[in-house]
Amino acid sequence: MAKPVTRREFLKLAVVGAASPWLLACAAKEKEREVNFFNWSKYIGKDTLSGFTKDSGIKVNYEEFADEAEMFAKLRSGARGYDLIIGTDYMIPSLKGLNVIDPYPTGVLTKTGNIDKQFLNTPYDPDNAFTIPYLWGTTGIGYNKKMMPKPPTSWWDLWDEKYSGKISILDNARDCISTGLLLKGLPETTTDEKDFAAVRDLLVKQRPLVKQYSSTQYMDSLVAGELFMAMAWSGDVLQSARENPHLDYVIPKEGSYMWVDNLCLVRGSQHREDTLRLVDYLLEGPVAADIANTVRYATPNAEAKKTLDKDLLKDPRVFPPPKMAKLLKFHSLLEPDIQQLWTDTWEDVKVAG
Amino acid sequence: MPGESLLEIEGITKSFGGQTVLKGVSLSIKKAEFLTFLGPSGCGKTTTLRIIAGFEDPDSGRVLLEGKDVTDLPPYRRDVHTVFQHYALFPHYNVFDNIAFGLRIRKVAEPEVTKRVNEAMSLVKLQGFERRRTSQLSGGQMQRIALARALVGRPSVLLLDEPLGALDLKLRKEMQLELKSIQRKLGITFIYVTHDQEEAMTMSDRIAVFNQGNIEQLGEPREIYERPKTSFVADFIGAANVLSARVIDNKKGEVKLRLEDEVEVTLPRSMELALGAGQLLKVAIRPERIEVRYQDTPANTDNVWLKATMIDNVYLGNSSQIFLLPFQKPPGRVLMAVSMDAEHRERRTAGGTVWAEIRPCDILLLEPSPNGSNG
Amino acid sequence: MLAPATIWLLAFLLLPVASLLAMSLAKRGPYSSVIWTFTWENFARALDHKYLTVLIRTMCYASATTGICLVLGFPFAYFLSFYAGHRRETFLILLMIPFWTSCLVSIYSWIIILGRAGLLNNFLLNLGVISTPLGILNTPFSVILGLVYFYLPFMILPLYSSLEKIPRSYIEASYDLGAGTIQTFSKVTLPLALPGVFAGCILTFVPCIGDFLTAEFLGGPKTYLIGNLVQNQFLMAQDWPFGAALTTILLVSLISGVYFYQKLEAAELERA
Repeated sequence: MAKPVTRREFLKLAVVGAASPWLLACAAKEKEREVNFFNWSKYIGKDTLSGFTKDSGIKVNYEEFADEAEMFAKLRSGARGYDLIIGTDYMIPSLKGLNVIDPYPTGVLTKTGNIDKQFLNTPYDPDNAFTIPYLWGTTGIGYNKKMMPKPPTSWWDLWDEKYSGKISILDNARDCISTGLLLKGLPETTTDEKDFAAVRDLLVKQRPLVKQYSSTQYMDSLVAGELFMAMAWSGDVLQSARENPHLDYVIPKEGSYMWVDNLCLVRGSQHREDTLRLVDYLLEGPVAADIANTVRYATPNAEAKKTLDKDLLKDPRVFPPPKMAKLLKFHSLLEPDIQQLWTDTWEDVKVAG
Repeated sequence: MPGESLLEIEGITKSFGGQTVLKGVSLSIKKAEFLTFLGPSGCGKTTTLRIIAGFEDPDSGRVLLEGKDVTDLPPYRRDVHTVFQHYALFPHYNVFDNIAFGLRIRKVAEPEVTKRVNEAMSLVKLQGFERRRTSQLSGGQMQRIALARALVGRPSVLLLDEPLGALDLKLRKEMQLELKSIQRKLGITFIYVTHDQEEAMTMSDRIAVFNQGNIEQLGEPREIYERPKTSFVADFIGAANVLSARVIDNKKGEVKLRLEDEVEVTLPRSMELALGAGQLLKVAIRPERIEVRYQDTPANTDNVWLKATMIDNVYLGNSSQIFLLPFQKPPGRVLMAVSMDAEHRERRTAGGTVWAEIRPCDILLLEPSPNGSNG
Repeated sequence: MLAPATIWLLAFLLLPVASLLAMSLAKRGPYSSVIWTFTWENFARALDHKYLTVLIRTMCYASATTGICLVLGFPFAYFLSFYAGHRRETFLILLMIPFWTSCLVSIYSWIIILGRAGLLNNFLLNLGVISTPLGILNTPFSVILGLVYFYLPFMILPLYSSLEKIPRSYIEASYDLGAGTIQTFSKVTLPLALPGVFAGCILTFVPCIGDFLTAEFLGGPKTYLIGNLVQNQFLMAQDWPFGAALTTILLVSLISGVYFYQKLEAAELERA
C-alpha cells in the first residue's frame, strides 16, 4: 500500500510544482487594481475613465454592449469577470431574481447625496440597495425634419400609412407593449389576456408599415435618411443629431415612459473595493455632468446640474419641463409570472404573417 | 475494299507550350488496315492519334477522312471512335447504357439499340453483363466494354490508345489476338498506339515507328524487323548490334567495310546504296543472326568470320545469350548473339577464343536517322 | 483509453448537443431562469402555426438562395474547372476573400451599397435609370442578396471540386461517341457533378436556415426568419428552453433530411 501513496503524493507535488508559476501569476493579478465595467455603447464621457485611473491608480477594463439582451444573456450564462454593469430599471428585478447582482454595502459610498431625490426609493429598488442611477431618458419618436416638414406629435403618427416603409420600431417587448397599453388606456400592470390581445392587434396593424424592428442599428438608418421616423430613446437621437442636424426628438402628446439606467454590482466580483471607488467617482458632480454632456441623456445627479451645459439643461427633450414631465412615468414593476405574456405578445407581433 | 486509302494525314505539326511534339507527320491509312503507331513515350504517337480523333487541333497540316477534310470538325462530327487508355467508361451508367450511349445520341430506335448492343456484347464475349455497374468489372472486362462501346457505332476508323497497357501480361497476350480477330471479322480500320514492339508485331498489318515527332519508318512488321532503315528502328524493334562502318571500297557486286575502324569485312552486294569510299555509316546485326563457332572452320566461304573473345555466356533456358568482343582497340563494342543451339549450354566458359559467323545479307546497312540523333 | 477522435467528438459535438437537448426539455422559470424538468411543452409550443409560418418562410428564403447560388455558381465552377487554366488559383483565392472579412463588415458594406443614399442608388440616379432612390434595404430582395453573397462560395467550392474530379477522358469519350457539347453536359458532366451539386446545396441551404445576421441587418419585419426567432429566445425573450427546442427541431429535421437523401441515393444505386 505504501507505493501507491507515495506515487500519489509525488503526483500532487508535481502538479503543484507545475502550477506554481500560474498560481503566482494569479496572486500577482489579485494585487493589481482594476475594475471591469460593462456599459452600453456610447454611454460615457470622453475622459471619464482616464480621469478615474489618474485619480485612483485603478485600471478600468471597459467593454460595451449595443443590446441589453445580449448583456443580460452573457451575465446569466455565468460570464465571469465583470464587476460593474448597467441595468435598466425594469431589468433590476430579473437581475436580482437570477442572483446576478449584489446590494451595495451601506456607508461605503460617499457621494450618494448627489442623487436627485426623484430617483430614490423607486418601485424597482425601494430600499436603494441594488442600484445607483447613472443616466435617465425617455422613449419617444426620433424623426428627420427634412423628410417630415410637419413634425410628429402623436404616437399615432407611427400608424400613419403615409409613412409606410419609413418607420422603425424598437425591437423590445417592454417599450412597445407598454406604449400599446398606454395608447389603449390600459394599466401597465394588467394581467388580463384580453388586454394583451388588444395590444397585439394594435401592433400587428402597425407591422406592415414598419421597415425594421431594431433597437441598435435604427439610428444609422435614421442618420442615413433611410427612415423618416423611429421609435427611439431620447439621447440616441440627440447624440446622432450631431452627425445629422436634421434629426429631432419628440415626446408624444399621449405621454410616454421614462427609464433609468443604473450602476449595479455584479455578484462574485473580485474587485469590489475598486468598483465602489469607481461608482463614487461617477457620482461626482462634474464627472456626471461631463458624461451627460457627451451622451445627451439626462443625469439623475442633482450636483451635476451645476456644471451641465446650459443648453442641455434647458433642452425640454432632455429635461422635460413640468408640464411635459407629468406625461412621463416609470415602468411599473411586473410580477414574474406575467412576463411570459409580455414576451409572447411581442413574439406574436414579430412572427405575424 | 481493302487497300483503298481511307485516312490521310498531311504534314501535321503540333507543339505544346513551345515544345514541338510533331514535326510534320504524313501518313496514308488503308481501309480495313490494322496500323500501329509504335514508339517510346513522348514520340508523338498519342498526339497524332488525338489529332485524328479531333481532341487536338494541329498547328498545321490536314486530316482527310474518306477524302473529306475533317481537320476543323469537332470529335463528335467525325466517323471515328476511340478506345481510351483507361477505358473512360461512364461510371453513372451500367454496361448496357455505356455501350448504347453513342446509338442513343444518334437517336437509334430502342429495339435496334438493344439488338446492336447485344451483338457488340457477344462480339467481345460479355453477354450477361448488361446490368452490371462498371465498378463491378475487372480491368479486362472494362477493356472489352470500352471496345464494344466504340465498335457498336460501326465507325470507319477505330482508334485505340494503349488499350492494353493496364492489363497483366497474360491477359494482354490473350486480348491482342482477340483484338486482331475482331478487326479481321469487322473489317474496320484500326489505328493502335503502343510502345510495346512485341504487341505491334503481333497484331499489325503495318507499323509506323515514331521517334521525336517524326515517322522514322512505315512498313509491314517483317520489313521493319528485317530491313530497319535507321539505327533507332533497328534498336527499338527487337535487339540489334549497331556498329559503325567505314566504306573502304565499293566495286561492282562487292563492298568492303571496316567495322568499328578495326575489322574489315567484304559484302557481296551493294545495289541499294550508292556508297562512296571513305563514307561513314551504321550497320545493324540481329543477335540471332550471329552464329558462335568454337573452331575456325569456315563452312561457307562467303560468310563473314570474326575472331572474338567470349565475354559471357548467359543461359536463358530456351536460348543462350553470348557476349563477344571481336575488336582489340578499347573501348570495343560488344556483340550480342542469341542462339537456341544446345551446344552453348555446355561451353559456358568466358575468356576463350571463338568465332562469329555472320551471313553478309544479315549485315544491315542503315540510313542516318532523320532526327540526326541516331545513337 | 479514449482515442483522440473520441475525445474530440465528445467535447465538440456530443456535449453541446446533449446540453441543447437537456435544455429543450427544461422549463422557463420566473425572471427567465431555467427550471430543469422533463417536459415536452417547448416542442408542443414550437409546433404552433405562428412559428410554422416562420419556418416555412425560412425554407422559402433558403431554397431561393440555394437555387440562385446554384444558377450563379455552376457556370462559375464550370468555368473555373474547365477553362480557367493556370489562373484558377487566383480565382479560388478571390472567391475566398469574403471568408476572411468579418461578416458584420460585409453586412455594413451592403448597407452602404444598397441604402437610399448608397452607391447603387447614386449610380442609377446618375445614369438616369431612376428618378427617385429605390428602397432596396430591409426588403426580401436585400436579404436574399445578402444570403447569396455569403453562401455562394459554399456552393461553388464543392461544385468545383466535383467537376474537377471528373476525368477529362469521360468528356472526350462522350464527344468521341457523337455527343455534342450540350448533350455531353447533360448526359455526362452534370450527372457526374451531381454529388457536388448536392453537397453545395446542403452547404448553402443548411446555414441559410440558421442565418439570423443577414435577416436582422438587411431585412425587415417581412423577413423574420427562424434564425431570428431562435436568437430572440436566447436574447430578448430570454426563453432558453424554447430556443433550445426550436434549435433541436431544426437540427433533427436537417439531419434527417440529409440522412433520407443518402438512403434514397443508396437505394437508387442498389436498383441500378
